[in-house]
Amino acid sequence: MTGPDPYVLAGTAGSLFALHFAATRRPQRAVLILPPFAEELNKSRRMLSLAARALQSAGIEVLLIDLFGTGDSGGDFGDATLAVWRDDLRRGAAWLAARGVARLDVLAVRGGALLLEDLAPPPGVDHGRVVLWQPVTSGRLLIAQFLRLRVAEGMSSSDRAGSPDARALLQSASRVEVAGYTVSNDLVHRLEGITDPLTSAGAWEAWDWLEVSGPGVDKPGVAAQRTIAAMRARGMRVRESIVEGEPFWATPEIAVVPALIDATVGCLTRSQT
Amino acid sequence: MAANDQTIDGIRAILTRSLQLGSRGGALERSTPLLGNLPELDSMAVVHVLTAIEEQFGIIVADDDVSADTFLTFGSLADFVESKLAI
Repeated sequence: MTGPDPYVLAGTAGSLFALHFAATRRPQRAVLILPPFAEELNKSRRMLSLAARALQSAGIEVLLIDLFGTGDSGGDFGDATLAVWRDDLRRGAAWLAARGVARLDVLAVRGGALLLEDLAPPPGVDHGRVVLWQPVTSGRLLIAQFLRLRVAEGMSSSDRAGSPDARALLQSASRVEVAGYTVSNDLVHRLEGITDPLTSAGAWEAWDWLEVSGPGVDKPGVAAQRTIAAMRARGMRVRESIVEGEPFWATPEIAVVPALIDATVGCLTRSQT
Repeated sequence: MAANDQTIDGIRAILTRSLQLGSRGGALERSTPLLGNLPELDSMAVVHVLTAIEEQFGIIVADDDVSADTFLTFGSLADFVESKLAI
């Protein structure tokens, strides 16, 4: 059977909605998805679903959790904290372990890469492979882009001069509204504090850094290359790959990049240890 | 500062890709209005375009730069980027 089974998992702060793409045989390996942040998650859902189904068809099961305050899970986005999100992912990994998963792989998408910091499989479960989709590895950059949405929104509004800066608002109020998302001061600061989530991310077997670019681009940008070099300097096995396609996490119309799905299945099925 | 052809081509490619303009990207001229004219250019698209510009051109865009003036026309956006390159 292909396609997801919905589950409700108990999270620290509230119940979590999850989609489980079960493997057709007894699960040995499973992929835990680390989802993108805010609106990028909405725009990425189609790609995540297609990738999960493709992995499922290849015999690898996938768990996609809506973190607390996102998607169909309980809670409001404004009440989400980094600690709760980390715990949500740990609970997801534990749920997979209880099903008999012996090796945990990770698919970290965009800002989801920040959640790799301190992520480890449960006891008794091996570290598998990490596949990164166009990762954002600086919390400061993620938040700068997110808060910039508010500035951009004010750009065409005639009373922009009267609209306080988001950072100023966060100092005096505990929350601020950005592009329809109410986000807490605490979450903003915690995410900004994640500066280097990958190079100390623990003993994962190997890393696949995948990016989506326009035609004629054959390597990641300068900042990405620096991060990859730092990972290799620590002895991490990193393979980088560029596929051609649209930036589906941001495009106005939902886009699909089949080459990225194929590459992801290839990365995770090639490694059989 | 008036943008040179390389900058114009780069901005055209970024707008075409980020906004999924297709063949309309090739029709952009300096005088083509952006904000208010391209329905795809909402606030999320503005952020995405600026991020792509920052990464591709190696510049940093300050919040003050995110203004209606910058995005008035294709030409004004390209000139803005050119002026940042000159710094």
